[in-house]
Amino acid sequence: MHDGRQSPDLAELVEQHYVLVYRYAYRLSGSACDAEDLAQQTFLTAQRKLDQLRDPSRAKGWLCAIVRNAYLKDLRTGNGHRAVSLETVAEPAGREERDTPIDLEELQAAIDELPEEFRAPLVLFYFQEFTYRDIADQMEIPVGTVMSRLARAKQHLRRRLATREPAVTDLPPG
Amino acid sequence: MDCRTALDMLECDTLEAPPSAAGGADPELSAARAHVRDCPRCAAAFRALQERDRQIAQAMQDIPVPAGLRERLFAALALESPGAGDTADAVAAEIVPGEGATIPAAEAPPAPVAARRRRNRSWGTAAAAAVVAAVVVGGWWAAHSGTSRVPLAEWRNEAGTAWDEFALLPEFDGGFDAIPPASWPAAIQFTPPRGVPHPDVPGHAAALYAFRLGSGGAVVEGVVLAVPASAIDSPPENTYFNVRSAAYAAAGGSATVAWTEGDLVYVCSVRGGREPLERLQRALDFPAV
Repeated sequence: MHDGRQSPDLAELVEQHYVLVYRYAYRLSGSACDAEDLAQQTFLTAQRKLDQLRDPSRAKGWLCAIVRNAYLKDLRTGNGHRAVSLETVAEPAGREERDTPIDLEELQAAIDELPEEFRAPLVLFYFQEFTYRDIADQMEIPVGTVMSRLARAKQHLRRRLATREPAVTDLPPG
Repeated sequence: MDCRTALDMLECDTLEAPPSAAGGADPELSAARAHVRDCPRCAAAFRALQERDRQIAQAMQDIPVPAGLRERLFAALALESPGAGDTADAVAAEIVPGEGATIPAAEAPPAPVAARRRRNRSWGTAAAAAVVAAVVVGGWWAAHSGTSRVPLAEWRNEAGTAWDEFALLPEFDGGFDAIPPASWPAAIQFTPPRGVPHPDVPGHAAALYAFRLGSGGAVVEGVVLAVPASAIDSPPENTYFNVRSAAYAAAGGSATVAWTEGDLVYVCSVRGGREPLERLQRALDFPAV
């Protein structure tokens, strides 16, 4: 039975959110290939379960929750990539300089090192699309837990990217 | 409240438009903000953290979206929508993602892309995939009807095209003894092979493997196409992956290397030009001679 609210349109969801979905999937998985697969899984799941989205204004968070569930499912079933280390392979000379002061490869490597429960809130935080409450709802954890995980994840990220970080140390005790 | 405690408490407050924490005003948080406002050293440190977080946020969102992703998503949705995929016409005629948002056949991309390693992918039925794969790959093969030996240059082109359609290709039927390159290190993981059809050959004419090396940003992804040497016009003379024999596509940034190992010719395709090829060469530990 309809409750009077208009059903969201799937095509609209794709149009409005596929970039965010892809980028979130990319940051979780660390792979363009996996990210596209996850994006597809996400919208296919959304297609099947569209009636569960009662409030279209919450579609963004709902889709991100599906992305994360799909990613976790892949991890559990061992469908994620088993990468071979290239650590022994020297970087080619003459790498291009980027505009951003953050090295994007280092950033993704630092994200990859985090356990998933820290990685997801960190990415969502830096996407600047969600409130802490939104993130907590997506992950089904308390807001306080989101904030504590976020604080630890940010510290990890700063340490890993520390070479170009502004100096904020040597504070007085009080 | 001391400086470190204040800054720790504001750890999640560093972006200019921070997500609002749940609940009303937290007295400790308010005290921390007041401390940082009144303490010059903390204020400077906090500004530095804010700036760093802005940089990280910018970098975090700096992810190029693959060309055609939106269209491939709609194609995947159309494949799984009720009644779709029963016939080639159903796929090719019109994909209807929603009211007022149809994709005409001419614009509808054939399918979801990318080398996927999942055997239990949720999207698309096998039948629909086979139909679409036939439609997709058929265009290329149509140009070769009536030939039994295909020039190597065209297999190079096909490697990239087949990679795009990897997920839609059927599992390799085992019509010939296809194996991943024996000369490559055993540590390199390949997907199960997909079958690439040919109109003049019963079953599959080639087997396609996808691989991925590395982690984080230092990743090389690609495919290796295995074809019976007898099916190739002028098989390559070199017997191992050698970047010096690479061919670069005029558009799209793909590069291929072909070599012969035993009864098979391999065509490896990667995207990004020379750099990923050279990285792969070093990973394979072959001399580029």
